[in-house]
Amino acid sequence: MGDPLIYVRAIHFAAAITAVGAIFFSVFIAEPAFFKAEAGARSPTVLRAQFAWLVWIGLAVALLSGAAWFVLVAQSMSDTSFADVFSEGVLWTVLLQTGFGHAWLARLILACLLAAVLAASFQRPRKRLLADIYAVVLAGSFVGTLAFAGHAVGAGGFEGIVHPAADFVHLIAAAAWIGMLLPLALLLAAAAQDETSVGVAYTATRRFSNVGLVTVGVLLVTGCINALYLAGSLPAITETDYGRLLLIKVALFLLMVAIAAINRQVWTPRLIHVSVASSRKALSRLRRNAAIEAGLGAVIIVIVAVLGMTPPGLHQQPIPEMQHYSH
Amino acid sequence: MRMRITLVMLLLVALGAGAARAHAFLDHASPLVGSTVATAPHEVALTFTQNLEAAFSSVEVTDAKGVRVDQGKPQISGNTMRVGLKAAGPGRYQVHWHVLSVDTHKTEGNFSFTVGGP
Repeated sequence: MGDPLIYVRAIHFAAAITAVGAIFFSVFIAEPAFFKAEAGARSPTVLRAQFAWLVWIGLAVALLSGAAWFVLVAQSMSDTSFADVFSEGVLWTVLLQTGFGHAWLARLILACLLAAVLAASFQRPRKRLLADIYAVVLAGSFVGTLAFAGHAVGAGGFEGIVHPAADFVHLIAAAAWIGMLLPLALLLAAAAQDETSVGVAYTATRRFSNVGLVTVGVLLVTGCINALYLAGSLPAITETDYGRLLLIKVALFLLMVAIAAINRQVWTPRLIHVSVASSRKALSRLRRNAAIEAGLGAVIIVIVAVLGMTPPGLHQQPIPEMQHYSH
Repeated sequence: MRMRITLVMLLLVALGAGAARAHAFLDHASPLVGSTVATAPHEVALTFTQNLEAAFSSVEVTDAKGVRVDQGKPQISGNTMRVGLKAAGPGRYQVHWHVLSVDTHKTEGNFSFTVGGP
């Protein structure tokens, strides 16, 4: 557990998911909800600024942690000291001659394009639709291409296509769900302070719940495909570190689904259909649950950071004689 | 929904998923691991369970005295690595490989083969 790469990976996942989630939330949840808000409501302006902060800070931390990740992997690949990585041209070799380097180069370009699109859309807020499409595609690709830095790549044939594709989609769905929880909590907090925004909170929570339903379905299917390739046997799941971590991750995921189901069935309808007191209570419960879910999501991110460094269950099994691996 | 997931999983099982390994392990070699061959081979070819990064994968072949008998840079393509051998006499040879798979994980291992009859 002492490997700094675990922490760098966890930070990078969290930062990328925060930035991407805030972009998705603005486009798919918040703006459509604001559209229905009463004229003069204060919360949209405040929230737009908060989401922008989430995006920019998330992107900045993702770039820094991505650079650290790259250096650590380059050092591990080349078996050299930390200083030699910088002096011996190792970084260029890794960047230009390995699949990991190519993935990182592509992700750096995606991040820069995304920053440019976002900066431009702040300049000209009227041409939103096109900018939104660009931002969503670039943000999704930025987090999805993490698939090319993990266990999903390396095989040939059918698996060589299906596994990275499944992981790409899995990452986008995970970023959408986990990353949108923090903006949702912020929106609900703003609504709690502003009577006129309960309608916005209701629309946003409904929309979030619908998007959440889709992401849960996508996560299940793509997660099963990933698990089949990496831990596709019962002993590989119950008797290896990788498998056990995966089981904890699945349990946390199911807990998140259970909370989301309670939000959808119990608390969201009470936001508007009963009394003011009941709507207040529903608002505070939804807010608390969003925070709990975000916390569970953070634990899942840490587990994912460790899983990527742990030999997948399937190949711990038939460890062939005279072969060794190092992360 | 559940039905559809079951179908997808069955499809994948049917297509032979699960044979994959995310770390590159030696799948097979020529000469075969631990084998005895009649005449000295011109090259050693290693096939791995995953695609390799050419920039960070290597192989060394040494004779019984520990002298290197491989020559030239190893040729790497996909999941195979081959290296030429100098003309060598009978005896036992050690192959030590050290590879980086495209998912950034390193593995290494060694095996021997013998040239000439017992």
